[in-house]
Amino acid sequence: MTAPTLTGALELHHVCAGYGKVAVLHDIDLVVPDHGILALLGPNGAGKSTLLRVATGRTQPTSGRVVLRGKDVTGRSPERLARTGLCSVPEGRAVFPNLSVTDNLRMWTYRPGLNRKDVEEQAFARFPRLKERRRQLAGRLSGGEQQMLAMSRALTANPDLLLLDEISMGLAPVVAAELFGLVRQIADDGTPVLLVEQFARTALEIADSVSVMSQGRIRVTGSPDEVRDRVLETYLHAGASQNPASSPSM
Amino acid sequence: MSTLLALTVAGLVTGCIYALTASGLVLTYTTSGIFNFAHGAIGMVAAFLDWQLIAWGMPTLAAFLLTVLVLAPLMGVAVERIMIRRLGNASLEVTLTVTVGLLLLLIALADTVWDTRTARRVQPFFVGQQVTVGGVVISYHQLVVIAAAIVVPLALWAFLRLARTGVAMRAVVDDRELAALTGASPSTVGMLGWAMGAGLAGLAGVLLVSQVELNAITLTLLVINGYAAAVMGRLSNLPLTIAGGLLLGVLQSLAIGYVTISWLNQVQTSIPMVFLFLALLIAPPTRLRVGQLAPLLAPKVPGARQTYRAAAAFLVAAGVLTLVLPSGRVDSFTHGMAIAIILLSLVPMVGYGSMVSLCQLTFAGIGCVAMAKTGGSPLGLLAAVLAPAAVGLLIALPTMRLRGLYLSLATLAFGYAMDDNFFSNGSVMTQTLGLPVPRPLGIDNPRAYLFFVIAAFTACAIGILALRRSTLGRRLVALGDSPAGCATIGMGIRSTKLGIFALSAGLAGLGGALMGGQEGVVGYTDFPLLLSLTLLLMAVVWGVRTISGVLLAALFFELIPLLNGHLGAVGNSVLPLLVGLGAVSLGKNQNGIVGTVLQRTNGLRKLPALPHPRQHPDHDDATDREEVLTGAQG
Amino acid sequence: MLRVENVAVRFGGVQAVKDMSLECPPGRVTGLIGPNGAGKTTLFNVITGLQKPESGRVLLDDRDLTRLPTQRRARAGLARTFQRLEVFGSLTVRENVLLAAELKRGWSRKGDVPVAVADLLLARVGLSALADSQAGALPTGSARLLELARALATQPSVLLLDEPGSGLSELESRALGDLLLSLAAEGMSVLLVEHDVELVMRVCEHVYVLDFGELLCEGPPTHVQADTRVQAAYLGAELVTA
Repeated sequence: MTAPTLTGALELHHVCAGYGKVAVLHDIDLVVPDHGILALLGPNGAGKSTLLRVATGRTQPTSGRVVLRGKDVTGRSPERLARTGLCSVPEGRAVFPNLSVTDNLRMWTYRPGLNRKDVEEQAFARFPRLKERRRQLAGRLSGGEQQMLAMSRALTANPDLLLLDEISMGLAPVVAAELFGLVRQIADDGTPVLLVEQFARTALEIADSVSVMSQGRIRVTGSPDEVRDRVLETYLHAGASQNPASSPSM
Repeated sequence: MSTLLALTVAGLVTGCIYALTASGLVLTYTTSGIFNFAHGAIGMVAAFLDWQLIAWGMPTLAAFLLTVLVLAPLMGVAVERIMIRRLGNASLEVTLTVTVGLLLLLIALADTVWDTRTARRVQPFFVGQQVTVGGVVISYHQLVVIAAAIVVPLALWAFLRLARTGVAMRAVVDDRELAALTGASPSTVGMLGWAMGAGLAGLAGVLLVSQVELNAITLTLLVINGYAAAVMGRLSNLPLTIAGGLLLGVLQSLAIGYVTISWLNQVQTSIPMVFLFLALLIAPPTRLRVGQLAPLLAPKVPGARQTYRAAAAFLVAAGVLTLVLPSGRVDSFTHGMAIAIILLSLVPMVGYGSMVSLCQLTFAGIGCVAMAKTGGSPLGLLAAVLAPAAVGLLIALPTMRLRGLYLSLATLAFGYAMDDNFFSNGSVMTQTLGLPVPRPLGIDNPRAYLFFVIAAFTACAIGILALRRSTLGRRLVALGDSPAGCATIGMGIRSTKLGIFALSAGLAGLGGALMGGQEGVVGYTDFPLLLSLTLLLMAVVWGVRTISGVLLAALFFELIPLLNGHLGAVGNSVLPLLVGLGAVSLGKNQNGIVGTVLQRTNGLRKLPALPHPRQHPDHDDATDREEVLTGAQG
Repeated sequence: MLRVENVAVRFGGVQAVKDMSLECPPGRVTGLIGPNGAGKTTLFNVITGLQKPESGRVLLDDRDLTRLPTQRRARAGLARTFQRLEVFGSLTVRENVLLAAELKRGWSRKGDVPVAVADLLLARVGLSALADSQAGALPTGSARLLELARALATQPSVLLLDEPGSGLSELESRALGDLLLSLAAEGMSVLLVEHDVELVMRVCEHVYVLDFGELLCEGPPTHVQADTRVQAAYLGAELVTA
């Protein structure tokens, strides 16, 4: 299990959470180190998305504490967390489909210290495709382009912590590989990353450390090499018997 | 020719006002997901405030600016903070009743503060000044209206396009949760939507008030014109909404000028209804949605044996009551039980099927007229049921392809048109003498008639519970829970909904006929639209999913005049105030008073809250990438 | 037999399903697998009429269903369950199944007594003990079984199951597998979307693999398991050894 003395970019202490009477997370202890990529793996229904919902303030834990950069932020609203430096790219297409590309970029400026010009310049420099399509509605972009737009938020916000939820979902392998390259680069530039993935292989390749979840609990944490075998075990076990309490949203 | 031009110009000016109020309606609806039936009422209060400020000696322009830019938006903020915010994921009948309650509350407030017997007029801007363009006289005031209708939408467009907060507003409409994750606050945006919407309502109210009399109800019902226009824009697209407003204004003006139908007294009040129904007919159908809201705790359904036992006990108690009741109370009790039958008609529709009619008393009135015209025989009673049922069918038909809200919109517009065109129509009843209504089946003894009405209520209640236990009842409840689930097991959704709506209208008609029988003579003001709203509200507040809930609501309703007698002048506002407060409390207590009691005593089935992401009402359109609000393609 | 021909669905700029065809013959369980977001649920929505395809056809025994509304397809013999539950939460468990049986009797005019059908099916999925509890109060796994029973009550010729195994215990999952096999043996076509690899491998005779909206490969489970493209796209080589 994790060493609770370590201070990280984000710490969850004894977090339990669920929906109504249905408990999804059981006593989660998780420390996201203040540099590098921590990959959070686990089969469908393990509680990964719920964990992220708790970390971003979208779901309040029934007990336990959420600590961001040493500060207890349990119970804070998502928008306040976002403004103080938590950047989270949720599952699916994390863009506003009925807003143009530039309007989407405009929304990235809610993080203090960012202005419209800087965000556009940085985003367009990194993804020239977006510049070509800046007047289009984001919903009309291809899946890969939408994910680029979503990732441009992570790129420009210079956040204290980046949370990514299954960003490769539904993308062609080439595009996914490109995205993971980008994530690695963001991490190397000094932003700690929590990467949630259902499919282990790519994540194991780029992560610095790995935590494996199943049935609402963290099963093992360690370096990719240390946990590789345990990943397989956890997946197989969980595939055969999933907890009835697992969240239906996954 | 010049008449045509003059009428068109006059219509355009009115249309400008409709467009303004409709844009406000759309703005609040898209940003908060809650349709504000009190939109017109907010404009009405703003108009009164404007009058008051001027009466206190404030310059016209200053009063105008203060009202539209400060007071009305503040009202919007207050409403959002106090009532709307805590509604969260509430069902249609709850959100709808809350804003309808606000409507009644604001009318009561206005009537209390600004005594209705005093006639008030607000002078138009630049009194007496006018220009003549192409033979048409246009007053400066009209020019101000036109200018406002050009400037305000442009400013709105610029705000939504260019200001970051405006972009955030569209972003929240698009994806509430993601907006929060970027750091924009959905609740602030929601509040802003209500503030801007209320400001626009206020603007429309103040601009209109110099053209009509300062009357709480007229201005409140402006909301109907507003949403008729907004339905053109599917309640989400601003440019189309504005076009709808202008078109409605012109049509109405031309109709007043050219259409003379002898049997229609008030052509202009039927135009919004006609317009709305046409807009409904051309609206694209709503897709069946997957992913429904979590159901509320459902009251247990009594079994057949339990029902009969309770009914027998109730009848015995009622029989005793009938005998011992003081003579002075018999009539009011009979009236209350007839009201109870009308409220009973809401149980299958609102309580089980989650469809909301806002004109149930209109159906009652139609039933009453039908019996008065055919006589008090069993045939007359049959007519009292069938006539409103047939009318209800016609109203519901065009809305069946659409979301539930549209049915409610249609019923309100229908009730409004019927108020002015049916009940006050010379061929239905004379305004001076009213319409004599026979006692059904010739039961003339007041006590015997009371027992007859109680028996009718009991029979209907047994029928409704039996319905709930039947296939049709299961269909109805299933529809409220998951239309997509219903369709995948082969259920015809429209026929079920239509059937229940007609049945409910018919039952209301029966209640209306029995009420008319008690009164002996009904007048043209006996079935007002606003009373329909009051009754609906009472039923929901007491608990529209249970028989006991609506029975208590009806008895409570009958008690109010008694209270009024003791309280004197203050008493007149007791009912609307209680109703309004009840509506406010609904946010917390969505099963009604009876529901809460049942919950405490374990009469409700326990339900855990499953995770259901808040879904915006317009997300069923998520696949057609039409930009909401500004209507522009990217 | 259910046939899907060249179906394509687009959401704005995202091609959710590309030129997808599949066959689901009677008497066998056909698997449809693929990573999250591959378009499986979208395809189910197209088949049942909840989503309009951009192009392509849906055929049941050579009858073109593409333009029929959802309820008409149900009457033609299609039944489904949902990944995100669509039970009638305010009704009891029995009422959920009973309603479907009553509707079936209404349109087919066949004489099966709905109450008997409902009780039989509840017994078959193992929910008899919960028959009188409110459906909205069921845990996810039981609610999935309830949706299955409700779908079966319409006596479909084709049954579409969207992740019926998620939320079930190991024991329940095994029982579900047995049930699917016996339904197929009775002549039903079953189309199964499932993440539980073990379940898919056990009950499916034929598996389609979908990846970002396209058919990646198809064949018997062992064949699919061995396919390197599938391993790369979805399962991850380590996991197929199950």
